[in-house]
Amino acid sequence: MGETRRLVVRGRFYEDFKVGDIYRHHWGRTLEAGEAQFFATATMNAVPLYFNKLHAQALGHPAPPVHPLLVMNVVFGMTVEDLSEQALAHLGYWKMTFPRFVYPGDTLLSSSEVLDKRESGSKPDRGIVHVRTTGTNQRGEEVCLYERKILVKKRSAYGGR
Amino acid sequence: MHFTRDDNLYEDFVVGETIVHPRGRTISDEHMMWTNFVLNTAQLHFNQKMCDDSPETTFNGRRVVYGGIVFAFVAGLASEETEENALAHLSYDEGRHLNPVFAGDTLFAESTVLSKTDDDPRLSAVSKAGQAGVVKLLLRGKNQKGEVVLEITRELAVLKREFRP
Repeated sequence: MGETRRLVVRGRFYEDFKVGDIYRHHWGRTLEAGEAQFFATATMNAVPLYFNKLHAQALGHPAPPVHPLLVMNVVFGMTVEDLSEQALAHLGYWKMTFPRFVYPGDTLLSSSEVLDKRESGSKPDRGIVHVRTTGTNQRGEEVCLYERKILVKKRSAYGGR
Repeated sequence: MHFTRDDNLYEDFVVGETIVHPRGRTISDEHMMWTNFVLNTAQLHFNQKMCDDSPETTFNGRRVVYGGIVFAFVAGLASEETEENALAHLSYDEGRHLNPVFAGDTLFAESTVLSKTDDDPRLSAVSKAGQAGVVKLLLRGKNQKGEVVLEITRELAVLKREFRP
């Protein structure tokens, strides 16, 4: 019997996106107090709301909330396998909001809807995909929303890799 | 005992002023850890062999720093002057990564005050009546050559002076 090998390739190409499709990204990610504090301090986010319990409580929070840009990065990170693992570049962000605070112990989930797609005007091997991503907590409440445009390879040009 | 400065409250933001933030931050290969930390699986940030094999679909074979981490570091560099007395991040918009960032680059930040108002319905969700205002800023990240790497607008709900805890 010969050995069987299977090459796994992750990520969608331009042709794989359909306008209106919704992807419910798997994994989920619980955020703990230590990593929330690590993010705020290691990115030099000099805002004691995110790393000083006394200050957070003085502002009416039960505990320091998770910094919104860590929330965004985790919500974004969980979308990559479905949206941009085959991307050439991340072009930008629009309409980003944070409807609720996230606290340590909360679990984040992400989903994305394909809003639009178009072929590149200058390079035939790629296209631009426009998505709206929604991050929710374990109760299904929205905690982070944004739109994003991604420059993605075409399968017809790169699918063999 | 105050845990924040007293020169970055709502009253202190001057519309039209550009704040040049004081510090720079050199990004090292640590950026790969940050990418993995937030579950970003895009290999062009952390697989050098793939970049070597595909210079035409990566940044000429160089591992580019994941933009969300550039964003976080630029916001961090701007934080003491803009966010220290902020209650909440209300929005970000028109965000663009205009140039790639690589390990070894040093990031700097500037913030231009675009507008401010203490009459905004969103304030009631994040503050008591009259305690804060909305400051709209253009956050700009630059590299050591002065090239803009990130531009994004942001609205912060910032405390007024008399309510600083």
